Amino acid sequence: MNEKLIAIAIRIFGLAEGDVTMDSTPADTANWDSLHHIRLILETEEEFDIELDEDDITGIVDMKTLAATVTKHQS
Amino acid sequence: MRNPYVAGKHCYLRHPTQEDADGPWHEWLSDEETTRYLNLRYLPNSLEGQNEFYQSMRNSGDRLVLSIVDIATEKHIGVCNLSSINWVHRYADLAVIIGDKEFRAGPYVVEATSLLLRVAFKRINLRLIKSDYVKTNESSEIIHRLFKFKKTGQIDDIFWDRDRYVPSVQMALRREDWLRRQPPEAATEQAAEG
Repeated sequence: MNEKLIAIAIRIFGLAEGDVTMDSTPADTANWDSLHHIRLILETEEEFDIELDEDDITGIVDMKTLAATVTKHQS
Repeated sequence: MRNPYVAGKHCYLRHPTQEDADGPWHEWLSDEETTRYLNLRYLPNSLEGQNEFYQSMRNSGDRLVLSIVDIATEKHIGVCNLSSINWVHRYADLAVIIGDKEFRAGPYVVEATSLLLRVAFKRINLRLIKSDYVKTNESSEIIHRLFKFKKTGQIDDIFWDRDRYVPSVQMALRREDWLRRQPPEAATEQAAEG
């Protein structure tokens, strides 16, 4: 799952392999602004075929919380 | 938090204060980038104009204006409102502006929108929220998608965007569709309320 999330983030942010890891945050990742943040959430919903609720959405602040949210919906 | 009306993890909404009206609020509504896609903000704003709005808004029966405040710093970072509230048919128009550019990269616009929708559907019992965005405004388009607004129409060539006329897209979110996106406990609580 982590590899898939990283691939989505790299595609959304327009970055190269290695620029995004599971420790990445908006503060240390190029192009991670609010617009790309929302795109990341929407793309994740589509890719994993899940629908996040508003608490999930506002709780996603970095790659780790994104992964934790996906895991919660898959379990 | 000072006088919070509704609070999230990063920001809260509260009644605007005279201090807000005397702060940078009026500058946000003169700024070219901030006002680019706003329907009625093509003329410059002023401190006096903002104070007039502040006074009129306090007596308005069909508009709920709330200040957006960063929890960590207590800074007034934006404003949001439900306007043209129809108390019979129970619908309103929604708008959210993060005026302070330092806070545009964070989670604030998403959280403020989420909080305002909670106010609309739970606190003041509206059943439908209307909204529209200029088709060239990618940020607004994607926020509507995130909150599952549905397209209800489009008016072509109505909005002057710098060098051309562009369409305005009409959107709406029904209370029952919003409820489906709420955490299970909130949805259950709402169902129990009937």
